[in-house]
Amino acid sequence: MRKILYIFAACVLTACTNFLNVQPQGYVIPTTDEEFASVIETILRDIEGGEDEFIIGNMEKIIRLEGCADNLDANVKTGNNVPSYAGEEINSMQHKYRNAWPTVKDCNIVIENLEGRTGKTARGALSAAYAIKGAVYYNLIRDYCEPWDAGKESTQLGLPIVDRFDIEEMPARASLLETCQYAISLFDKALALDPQDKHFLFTEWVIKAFKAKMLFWMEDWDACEILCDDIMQNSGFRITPRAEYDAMINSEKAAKGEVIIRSHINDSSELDWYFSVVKKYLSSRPASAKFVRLFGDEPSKDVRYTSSLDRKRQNIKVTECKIRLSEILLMSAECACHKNRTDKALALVNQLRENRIEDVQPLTMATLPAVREGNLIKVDALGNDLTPLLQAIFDERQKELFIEGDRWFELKRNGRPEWWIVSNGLKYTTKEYLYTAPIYKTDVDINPEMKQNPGYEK
Amino acid sequence: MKSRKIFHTFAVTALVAGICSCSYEEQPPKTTDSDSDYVLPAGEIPSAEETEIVNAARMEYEDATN
Repeated sequence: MRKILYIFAACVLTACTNFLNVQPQGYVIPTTDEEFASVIETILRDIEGGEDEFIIGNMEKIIRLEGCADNLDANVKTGNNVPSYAGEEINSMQHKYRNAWPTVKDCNIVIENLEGRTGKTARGALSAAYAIKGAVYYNLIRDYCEPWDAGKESTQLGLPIVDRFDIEEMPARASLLETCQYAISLFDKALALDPQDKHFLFTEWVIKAFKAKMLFWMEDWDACEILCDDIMQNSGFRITPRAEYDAMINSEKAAKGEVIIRSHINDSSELDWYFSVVKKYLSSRPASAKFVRLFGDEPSKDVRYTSSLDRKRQNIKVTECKIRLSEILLMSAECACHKNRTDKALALVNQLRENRIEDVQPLTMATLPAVREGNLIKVDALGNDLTPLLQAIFDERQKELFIEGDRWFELKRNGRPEWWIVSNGLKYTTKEYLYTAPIYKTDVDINPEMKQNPGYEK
Repeated sequence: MKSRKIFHTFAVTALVAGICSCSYEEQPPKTTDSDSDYVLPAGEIPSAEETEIVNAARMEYEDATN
């Protein structure tokens, strides 16, 4: 009898070892600095291979953003595999919301385990984890939160703040103010670690550029202008001159000239065959006449025109997401304009034009073109009517950042204008609510505390 | 007799523990009325004026690029 008892006990206790073995077969649970760094390196490999959609962005993101904006004219030709307008993207956007969070989860695991470690690899990976998480939040805020409305930011819906990895937690959405401040705090933590190691991509000036973009979205004109000026004066980057513009903007893989960071700098992606096809999609919808008219009577004198469009007005610009010094300059100009430092704003606009347009005459307050009647953007980020100077800044921005996924957010930031296109004989209107994409529907269904954005209730 | 009691106690404990540990629900929680997609906005028939604007844009494009 005792023998049977021993055999039974042995069977029960042995069976428990498999039950308790939670380590996934074939995987390593990271413990060393290098193993945690490899979690970050996997994310960086996606950026370098052009697969990342949630940090720097990729061609897929550009197709979506440019398809939904007005630089390309869907009325003339819808094109192949380019969304006609934002309403088509509602469901793909809610799924993208879900797909962004695993990157936050990975960053949280690295942050929780590397905080306090002093090795060079640990500090580099930790800084990159903070910066990458901040960048994901920045992109989610722009896509899934309504634009900053000064005075209402404490009650506007932000995003769940996921500070620690906890699989059972279901946080509700914080306010827009809290979410933006959280993103800023992540960039500050990254900068406090003195990130200089280019291996981790997110070095000091890359992080400062992201922080400036976040401050710009928050309409913190003073802080943004100071940071932009710091980047322009101390980063070592210079506005790429006209003669070198085409080589810089149409570089297939390298980050040249004024490019601070960009996607797809190598062929490590398994999707490279797909990207080679995607490039042709954007060319299938021509630029709008309104956009072309921004280049004036002699568009060929502007290197941005000759480097971006062929004679059929089809895109020839390399389609990669990037942050460039020109964007930093234009943010500084707009900040100065909002703070009534018009001389500085105008000087910056002229500096950019000198580096883009052949034989250009500097603009003065007296020679700035009057505000056009047919502008889609009629008010600025504060809801005020456009001034000639602000219009000039917006025009340069629209030309400079064409096919870089910027225009959609410019429309969103400046009044969310409603407009329509006709596709397959039917009219589709980009209504105000469509500028803010829906968060993942299942999250809202499961968590009663999770609020959906207006316009998408049921 | 004593060892039989121990055996029975052990067997009952193992059975109860086994049954209790089976309560883990592997399916994620779902609501019965949930649908994973939103209905996309419907298109409208453009007015004659709107159709005219579209045609003008196409004509302008053809003229400018041919």
